Amino acid sequence: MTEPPFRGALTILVVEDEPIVRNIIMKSLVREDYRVLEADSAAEALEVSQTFSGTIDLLIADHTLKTMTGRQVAEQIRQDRPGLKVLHISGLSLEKLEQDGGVIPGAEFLAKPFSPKTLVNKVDQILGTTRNRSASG
Amino acid sequence: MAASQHPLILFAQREVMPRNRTRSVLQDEGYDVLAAADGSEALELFRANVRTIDLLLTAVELPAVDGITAYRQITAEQPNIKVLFLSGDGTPNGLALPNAWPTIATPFPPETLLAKVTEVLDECQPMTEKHLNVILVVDHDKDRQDRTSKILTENGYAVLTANSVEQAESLADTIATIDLIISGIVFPGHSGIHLAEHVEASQRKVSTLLISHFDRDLLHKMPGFSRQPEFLPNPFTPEALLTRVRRLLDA
Repeated sequence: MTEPPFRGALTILVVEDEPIVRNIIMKSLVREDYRVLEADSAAEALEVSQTFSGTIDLLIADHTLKTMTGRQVAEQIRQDRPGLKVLHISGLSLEKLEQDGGVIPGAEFLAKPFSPKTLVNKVDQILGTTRNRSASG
Repeated sequence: MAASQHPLILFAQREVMPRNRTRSVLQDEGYDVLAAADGSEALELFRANVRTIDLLLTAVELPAVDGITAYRQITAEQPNIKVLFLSGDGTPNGLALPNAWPTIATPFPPETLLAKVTEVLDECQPMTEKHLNVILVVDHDKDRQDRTSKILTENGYAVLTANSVEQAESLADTIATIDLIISGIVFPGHSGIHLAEHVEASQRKVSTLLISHFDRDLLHKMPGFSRQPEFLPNPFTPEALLTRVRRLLDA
């Protein structure tokens, strides 16, 4: 039977231009053992994707970035990383967000504000993760 | 480091991948880290976590608010914060600080960073009582530039250096907290007088001290020279330089 991946083996890229929100997300995920890369803009997110040689397992993208929407960032990164999973986050409702470009197909959505626990649960659900490597692993 | 203490580090660096690498190294060692891409973000994070930050780790040149300005604003609100500057990050020739001020030259291996952070957190006192005066030294003669910088850093001043007026103007436009510019006059490109006028036009409170081995009478024929209040004939003694610097900074 295939074991679920453990959090420490997975890398998440967070793109969020609000520094306080970005750092809360980072802290929430790092505390739960995820490997996390941060970007404060669409341009930085694309740079990280192009520069980072490892696998990025999940992109967490704020919808309203200064130069692009979260969907546009996800679309660009998926050109190089086709299997990339995406979690859109926004202060807009999903309904409003659909009127403003929407989410990339197959992506999940989490409305702001959210608690660290809600975020981690959502990420765990998307990635199908467990916290620790099994004793036999 | 005591694993139970989790000191909180506010870290500011412009380049995204070095920022991610450094943050990861610190977090893997057990530090809590707030990462900022700019001094303005660092100030925002500081104000959201005021009085809980143990160390400011910052580059000097940042896109909107530079690291020195961020440091000055943060210490005005939290005087006991410790600081470690990344030297050579973005600035053409780096920032030379007086010996007492902790710096780490970039790029650095993780173990060097961790050792320096531990040293600053455990052994250094906050620099609260010392005002950090920043002087930009502009000289295309590297030996003279080094000599001037050495005199200044040995006497408690922070020094940025530039090899040309064009480089200096770019730095002066980027780093908000330059207190004094010491410049030669005759350069292959723009003159030191051009630099002084450029800074004066920005309406910032930055004094300029011009240095030249040319005769003052000859220099008076250069457009704009007579409007420059401070001139130091070259060669100069350390005492003569420091007297002018103190007078200009106290003005």
